[in-house]
Amino acid sequence: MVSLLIRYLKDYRLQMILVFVFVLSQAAAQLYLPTMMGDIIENGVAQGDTPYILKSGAMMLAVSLLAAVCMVASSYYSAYVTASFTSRIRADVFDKVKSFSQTDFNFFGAATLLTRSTTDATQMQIVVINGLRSLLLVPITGVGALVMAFRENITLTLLLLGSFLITTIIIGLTTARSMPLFKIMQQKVDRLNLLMKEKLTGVRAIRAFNRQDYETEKFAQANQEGMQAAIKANYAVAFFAPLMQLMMNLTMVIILWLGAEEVQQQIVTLGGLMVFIQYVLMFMSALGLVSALLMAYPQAAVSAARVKEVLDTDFSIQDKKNPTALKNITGRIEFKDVSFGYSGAEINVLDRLNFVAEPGKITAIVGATGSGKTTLVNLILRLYEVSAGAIVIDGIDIRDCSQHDLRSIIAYAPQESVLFSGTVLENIRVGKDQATEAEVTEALSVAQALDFVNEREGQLSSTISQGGKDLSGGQRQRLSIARAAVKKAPITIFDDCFSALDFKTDSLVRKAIREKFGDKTVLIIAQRISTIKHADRILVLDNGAIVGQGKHEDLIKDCLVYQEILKSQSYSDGKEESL
Amino acid sequence: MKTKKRKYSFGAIGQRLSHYLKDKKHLIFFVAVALIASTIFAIFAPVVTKDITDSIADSITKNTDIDFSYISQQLIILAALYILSAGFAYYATMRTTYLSQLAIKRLRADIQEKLNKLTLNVLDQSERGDLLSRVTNDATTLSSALQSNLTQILVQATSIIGIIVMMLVLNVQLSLIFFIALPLSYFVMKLITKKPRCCSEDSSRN
Repeated sequence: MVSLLIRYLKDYRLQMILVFVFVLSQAAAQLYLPTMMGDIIENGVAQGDTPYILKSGAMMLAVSLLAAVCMVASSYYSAYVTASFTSRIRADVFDKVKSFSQTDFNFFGAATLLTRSTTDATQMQIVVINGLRSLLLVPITGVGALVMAFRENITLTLLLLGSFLITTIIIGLTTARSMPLFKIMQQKVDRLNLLMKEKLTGVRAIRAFNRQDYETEKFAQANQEGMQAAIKANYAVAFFAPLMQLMMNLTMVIILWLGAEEVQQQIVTLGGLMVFIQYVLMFMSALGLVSALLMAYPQAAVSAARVKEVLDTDFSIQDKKNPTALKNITGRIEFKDVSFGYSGAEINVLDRLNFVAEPGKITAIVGATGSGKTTLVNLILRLYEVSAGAIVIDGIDIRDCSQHDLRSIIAYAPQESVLFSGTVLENIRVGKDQATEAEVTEALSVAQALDFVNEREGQLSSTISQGGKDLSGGQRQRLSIARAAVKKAPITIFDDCFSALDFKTDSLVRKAIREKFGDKTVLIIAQRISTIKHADRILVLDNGAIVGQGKHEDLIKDCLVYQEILKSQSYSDGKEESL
Repeated sequence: MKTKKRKYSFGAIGQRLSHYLKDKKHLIFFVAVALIASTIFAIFAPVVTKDITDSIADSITKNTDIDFSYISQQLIILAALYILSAGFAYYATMRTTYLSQLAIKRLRADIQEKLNKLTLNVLDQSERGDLLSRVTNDATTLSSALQSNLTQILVQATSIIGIIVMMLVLNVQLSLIFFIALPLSYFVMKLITKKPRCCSEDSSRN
């Protein structure tokens, strides 16, 4: 928590100094008040000097006013610092998560990342807002009051210190003990958020399968656990404030008792005792602020640790210090003995793959679900790092160039077409920022999407709702294809994004690709053989290994897996063969 | 969803929360009693302290020995008052923690029930992130605010009433000065708090 604070507050030195100066002035002014009061009692009231009382009274008023002004000023600057602090943390978490590789992302999970950047950041903000000023004010007034009290009466101050120490130790021990409880509590919040998120994203599936009751039951259980964890954690710190109050009040009782004896023995005057008690009261009110802070601290510290964990994660995929620049890339991809397994898994998803995808040719990859097709694409995009072997583009190992460069030479149409809220034009321009309308239109025509886009009200500038819910699956895929097409990158990858197209559209898209992408490396991944039978080279993947390589005609003859796939699809293929 | 955004007043929120806790009326009653008791004990402490200092001052001006049997008797009463006050405060804190967590749990359950019933149309029209933020972040913020503030508000309210009563009992004239100063500070507070209200709406949209 503190290290995170220091890291961010560094940039607000000037404001922090101002906060500090104002808090210091406020504390000094407040500390001066009891002494002035003592003077009034000793010199004014005791001697009946009314003008002196009035004069000193006015002085006291002026000093209080000064303290008030300083308080407002310090609150203003500390509020400014806090707000900037939290927004910077949120921005940094967001940036960090954006640059996470798939592996890093899976390590945390979406739900907890969400909680961490929202709830946990807010949790910290609450404490920092309340805490920043008290954090400065309390030690200053506390120590100041203690020093002043010490000057008045040594034995009684020692007594005060003693009881303060005992309280601090008790609270310190409980804080340490309550931290794990708060950690559990935040984990339960994670779980609740996860369930809520699943509920929202999977609402269709849940309803279609009548799973509401099951989901409700699951949620109720998590909710109950969450409540119990929160109650347990908060109970552990509930006694802070009352205990602190009690300890200090009992100390006051003893001070009164001992003080009376000292007055009796004429060690101190009654006025001296009253001034001392004023300082003790000031010290106690400072402590009151601390106890409020202490109750919130464990939770904020846990939140801070969770945020810090995200911020401090080393990317599992990092760019080299001096990455090789990718210039004049033709797009020749070569897999050299590439193997890949998810961390922790025993069996490799991909096993010693060797193949070359040439520029100007269409390379297709077929295989049953789970054969590793999409993983292969993720490796080319370096969303995952290869476990063994190397992927080489134009002779350059993809680990030697920067991830940004690598992805700038690859156009990618993913299996799940993702559309963003915005216009059609904006969605296509995700592929290429500067694309002109003519380029966008051309890309749409390659994807056979021009017809339905033109039918929409507003054509290119018609808006798509988030996720493209108002489009059919095939329409979404076609927009996704157009987005990849507009990039005109040396390498273009279509990851099973023809699956929702009817056979006619499928073949038209393929034809357009062959025409427009004559000099590019094109990778098509598919389950339907009809989609890829005209490819220049077909790779047959089975359980992560290449079991066949060549043209359709060759594979029909010598690849068993290919024959099986073909056989399983032939009942429909027979009719569509002519296309 | 954005178009028909309703403004919830403080009262409306209170009503909703009390709806979640309506079967816990007896508990709320106990909490209130404990808070009042805690405050009353805390408020009587200065009166006893005053008796003690008065007695000491009396002895000094009359130049007699300090009446230690009286003082020790008063000090024991004082200690008892403080212990009782702290005990009740502890009980009240525990119970409000429980109550606010229970209210939040029921609120969450309610949200999830509602999600079951909402038509897909509504779900589709509202941004998913917005909904998600509402059901997760906003619920948590409400719970922490509730927990820390509910106790605070109750404690502050009871002590303010108690202190005012006590001030009037001890010295009417001095209290009057205080009551004149009060509207002044309220006015200053209002000036300062006017700004943040409008800004918080923006920050919750992140």
